[in-house]
Amino acid sequence: MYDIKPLEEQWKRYKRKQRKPWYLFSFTVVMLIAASTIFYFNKTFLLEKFLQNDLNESKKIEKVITRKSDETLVPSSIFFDKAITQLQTVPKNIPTDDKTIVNREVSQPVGPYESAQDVSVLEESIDSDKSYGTQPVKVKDRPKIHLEIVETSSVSAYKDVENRFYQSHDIDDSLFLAKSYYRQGKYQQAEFWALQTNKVNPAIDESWLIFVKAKYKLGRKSEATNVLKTYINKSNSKEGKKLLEKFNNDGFID
Amino acid sequence: MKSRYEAAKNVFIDSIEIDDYIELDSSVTAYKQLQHSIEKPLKMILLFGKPGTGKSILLNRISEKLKHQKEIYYFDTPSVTEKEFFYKLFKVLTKQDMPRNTEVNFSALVNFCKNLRGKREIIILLDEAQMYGPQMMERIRLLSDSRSVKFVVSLHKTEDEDLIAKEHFQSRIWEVIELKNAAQADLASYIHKKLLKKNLFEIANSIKEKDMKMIHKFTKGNYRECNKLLFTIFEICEYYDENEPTKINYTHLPQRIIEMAALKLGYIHV
Repeated sequence: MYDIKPLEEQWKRYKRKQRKPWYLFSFTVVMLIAASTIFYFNKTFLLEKFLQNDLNESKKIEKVITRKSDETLVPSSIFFDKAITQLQTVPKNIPTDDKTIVNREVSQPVGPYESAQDVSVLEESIDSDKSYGTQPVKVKDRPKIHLEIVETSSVSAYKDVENRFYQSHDIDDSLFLAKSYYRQGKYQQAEFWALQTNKVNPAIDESWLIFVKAKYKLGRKSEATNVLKTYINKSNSKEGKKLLEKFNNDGFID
Repeated sequence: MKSRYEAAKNVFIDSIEIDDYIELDSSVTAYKQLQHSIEKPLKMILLFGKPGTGKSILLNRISEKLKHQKEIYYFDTPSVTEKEFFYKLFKVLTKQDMPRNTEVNFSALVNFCKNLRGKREIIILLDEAQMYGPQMMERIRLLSDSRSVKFVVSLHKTEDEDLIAKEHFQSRIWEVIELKNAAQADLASYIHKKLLKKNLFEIANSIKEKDMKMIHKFTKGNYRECNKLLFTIFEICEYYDENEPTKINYTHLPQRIIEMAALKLGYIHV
């Protein structure tokens, strides 16, 4: 056997060739695993990003309303006392898997509307069992209300909120609907739900502003301006004044 | 000092020597089948199979075994010419050498054979019968028709040779025995028995089942190819044993060496 060295070389080449498919197979498997891992993490990342966006959107409408109990309201003189309510927006992490309204905690329904008659701009009158007097009306002590609202596009979800409002007269529900409809460009519904909010509690600045903005958007500009002026006269609302200025200058876009 | 692999290598030198005959289940079956066919009053028996399936060694073995019981002759190498064949045949039949410068009269030979019927029963084993031409085969057939001479014709199994068999023997051959390549178990048994016959126990044990599988794969169970491969394997082992002992494992035949031998013999290619 004199040709052992060439034979050894030949054998090495043979083994390399024989292993080649295995190397290719292993490489393919590794690449597939790597691709799957990257895809998996990317998917998770994208999902997180999506959820984050959704959460941010949700946070915009999420509120924790804290009502201070010891404050009083004198309807005749300080009807729109800003001290009555204090709105705070507190961001809170909310799972948004189910894009419907979740975890609503309302300890007490909001009190009945007491001064609707005084508001001339209201198109509807409702009976109130209490009339405005000179005597200050003490607002009932209210515990903190934690309200978590997640925006939804589901029609049925809106219906649920509407139905709940009719049962509870909760202004959080009606204000939510007013804001949501306004944002969606459904100004007629926005006007209606802002009005419902004003009926229950006429001291909510935001609700009045949505009410007049909706009217303005519906083309009833003079009516919107008149209502806004009346509201400003009663509340001295800074936001109201700014809005009126925009109305007058035709600079309202919103 | 001689390498332990030298003896192993020599075990696998291809031969049809009776001493090298290994009794395997398959070969015992073929042997018994052939012996049984010879006993029958048949005129011609066809033994066929691929080269290296053990036809020659079977003919040789049966010739050796029966030579004291029957008048049996083994023509191991085919005659190049018709004249040479009839010289050999004349000697078998008449037990005399043919006089020089004479030729066999075929008709007289057939008549001579006919006269032998009932007196003698001559068995002629014709190896490598594919080497005989059609005319010669026709004459062999005529001789067998005399019923005093029985031919066992061994053929390679190829398409052309099958054709010869069909054309010249189909209607005359009364028995066909086919030899096939060995199964893995038979081949493993063949290798072990060959080595053990020469008392090479350690080497026989160093060839594991996995190696046998590989050897069978390379040789396709052909005994001649197996002999060639084993010879080359032990040749390589012998080299390493003498020159680079670190490259060899004495307890287990390295697969690398089997593959190297297969490369050398062209069973596999780079």
